[in-house]
Amino acid sequence: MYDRIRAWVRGTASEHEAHAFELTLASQRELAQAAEEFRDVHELTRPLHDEAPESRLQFAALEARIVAGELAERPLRVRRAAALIGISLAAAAGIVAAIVIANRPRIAHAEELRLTAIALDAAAVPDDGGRDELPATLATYEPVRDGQVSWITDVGQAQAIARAVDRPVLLFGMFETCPLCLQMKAEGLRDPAVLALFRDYVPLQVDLLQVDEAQRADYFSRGYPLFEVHTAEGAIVHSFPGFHDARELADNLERGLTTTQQPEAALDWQEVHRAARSLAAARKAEADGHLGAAHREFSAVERETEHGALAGAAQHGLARIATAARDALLDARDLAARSTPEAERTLADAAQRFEGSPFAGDLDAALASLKRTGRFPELAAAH
Amino acid sequence: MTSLTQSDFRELFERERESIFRFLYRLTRNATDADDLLQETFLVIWRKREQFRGSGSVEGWLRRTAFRTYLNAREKNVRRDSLAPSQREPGDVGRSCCSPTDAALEHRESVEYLVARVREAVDGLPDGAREAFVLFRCEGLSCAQIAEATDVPLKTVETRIARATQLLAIKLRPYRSSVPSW
Repeated sequence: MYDRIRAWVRGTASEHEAHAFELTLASQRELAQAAEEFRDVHELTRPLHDEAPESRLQFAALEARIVAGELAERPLRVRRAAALIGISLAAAAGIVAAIVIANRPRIAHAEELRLTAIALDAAAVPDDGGRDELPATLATYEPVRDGQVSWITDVGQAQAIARAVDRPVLLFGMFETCPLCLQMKAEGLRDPAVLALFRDYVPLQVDLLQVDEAQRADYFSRGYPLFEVHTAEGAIVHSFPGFHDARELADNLERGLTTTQQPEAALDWQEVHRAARSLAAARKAEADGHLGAAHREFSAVERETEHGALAGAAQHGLARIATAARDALLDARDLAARSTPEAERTLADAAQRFEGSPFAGDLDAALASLKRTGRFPELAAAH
Repeated sequence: MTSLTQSDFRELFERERESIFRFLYRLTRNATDADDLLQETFLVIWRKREQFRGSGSVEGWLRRTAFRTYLNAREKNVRRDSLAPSQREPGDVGRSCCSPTDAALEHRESVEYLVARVREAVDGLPDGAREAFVLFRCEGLSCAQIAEATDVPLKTVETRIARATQLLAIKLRPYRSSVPSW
């Protein structure tokens, strides 16, 4: 779609293509808005288009790096000479090592292990009281499906979804026998322009006759049919009770979005579905003890979502895994003071659980050092 | 060509150096970083020359390798040191290069100021959106080429460009009326 918009904005589309595209714009309001927005931004960012210096890298410099890195590609004579020198040096080193070993103290010294991924000062991840839990419906939910609004009827669930997808809640207070509500459901709430705007909301329908008496009185005092835009925390930011035709509904929905405009744009629903599925897979892997796999899934969600509650949940998961890796390493160190074989088993088990994550390398290195010296290495923080 | 010979490699380097450099420069906005990453990219290409079978797009392969090199560097936090907004105050640039009239100087200062704000807005985008946007807007790649280079679905590229456009429209709205003819 954006390739066509760009060609239209730059005027590089053929006359026929431009005409066809303008007809499409006239019939698709959402596309027309996107095209207008891109045209403005295209104009504003024009100075960035031309600024690019020339590379100063010469082939000779690249060749030098290649030659330096590829001893194996050198002629056979050179390799033989290098091998001979290597053997001589190794023999000399062996003699020196034998002398050192013969005179070494009986107790081997612990090696220093410079950690590359595990942070010794990683703070414990606080319990978030369940906020990190995402509604299971997030993997498939869309506010508009088959030309109709998919109303959520549970306030808590609507707010949880709104938090996760960085969208406001649109509350529709109605009751089954309310003629105005029914008319709006049949007309305005099925209008394509209105439905397009609903994709930026989490729609919540409250049956005003099904809530308790105090709530009912409160809702009715705010008018009906009741339309309110709420933040995910339940604060009312825009209210427009009463009957509305499609155009008034669309205007109010747009106003509601302007009022709650977040600094970062929300993910589209397909991205939300993908991220929710990856998060579920990450949590399952975490619960099953496959922390390397969990790390990969959480990292993918963090990379794809970049901000908002889904990214927050992924970052929380990554922090839990980082803390678990640190704890596994320190547990093994404590165990090593009592039993080296037990510490080795703990490290080997941890390295397996964290395989595929950046922490596995540190655990493997600690295990190798422990096996080599019989002593747990001195841990040094990563640079 | 079954795999890259040394002379093929040199020819490829000479032919594609500027386009891959520009690709990396768009992502890093720093010529030194872009040259470093360009060198790393071609080292990877040389190491993996046996994998090249001559089928498919050479440009696509190069851009994908360059983007991975850039991502690795980004993850090691060695990127974008110089992406911070310019240290120069708006209007500093070029004051001594000529003797403009007051009106011309004023116009130049306002342009410098606007360009700095535009750069800030683009640099402030989330990474994925920024990368997709600059490759699309500044480098002129198609959505499909960006998807191939960054190894993400085409739909994700379009979503990222849409998100970048929305964010820039919001951030740059105050300057919309004062945009000169660049």
